[in-house]
Amino acid sequence: MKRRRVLLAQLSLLGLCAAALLQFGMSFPYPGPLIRPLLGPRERWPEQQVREWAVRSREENARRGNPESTDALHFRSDFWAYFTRDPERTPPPGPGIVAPADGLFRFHDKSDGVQFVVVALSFWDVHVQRFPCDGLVTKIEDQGDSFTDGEGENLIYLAEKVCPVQKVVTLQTEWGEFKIRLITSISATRLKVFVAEGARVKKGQRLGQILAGSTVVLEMPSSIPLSIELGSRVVAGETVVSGGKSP
Amino acid sequence: MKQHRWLWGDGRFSWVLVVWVVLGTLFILVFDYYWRTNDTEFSRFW
Repeated sequence: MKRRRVLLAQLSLLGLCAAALLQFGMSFPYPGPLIRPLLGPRERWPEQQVREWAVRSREENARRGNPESTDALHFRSDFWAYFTRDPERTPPPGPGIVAPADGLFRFHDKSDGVQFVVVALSFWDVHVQRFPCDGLVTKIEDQGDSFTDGEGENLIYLAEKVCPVQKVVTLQTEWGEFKIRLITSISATRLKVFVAEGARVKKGQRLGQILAGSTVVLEMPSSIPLSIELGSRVVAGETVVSGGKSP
Repeated sequence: MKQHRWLWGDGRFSWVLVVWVVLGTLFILVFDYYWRTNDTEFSRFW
């Protein structure tokens, strides 16, 4: 009887080890379910794995007739819940202009009186965009390839980007006309805008959401001085990108 | 079977074997966690 109990205990331990190793092996080279909860977002869902999910979703949707659709998503549910999170944000008081998106302030360019503040989003950034300041939404446009083929061809930061679809929200503000351009590249056209033309919006209010996209460009008059450094991380609705002093 | 008593005991697994398997599994899991969270030569190579 004792022998049997010992054997049972030993078999249970070996079984647990086998299950752990099996999970490890099946997830490899990505982290297994046992260590996943201990890892930060970047290690928990490595970039290569997220790219594979995106490609698989795109292929599946292409088989169904529309590669840009969001019908089939092969992202693991825990990643998708993290990716679509929508935390509250509190804009700082005062007249400043805040960042429209979470991410890395990657490029800054000026051309024809307009300055372009380019925020690059990673897979692990919040993908909900916010209005940089109070204003009136005067236009919401869909744009196809024209930005890279036409008006944007001289913008070096977009020269090598595939931009299947963009949404451009034009905002009339006390400092002039602002445009917030949502761009997707990897898994395409998942652009939502939460407001309609003619809406009066507040600084920090939710503007839209990019599902599996990559870039947000804030276009504003070049006379407005910037208060952030190139390469710094910005938080939508909270990081002040300019004190907003009128020229 | 006699020459393999270290492995198979007397009709049971040897605890030596069980302990080695448990330690080996723990080592793999801990090592996996370590190289994922530390920027080592190995994780860069990987």
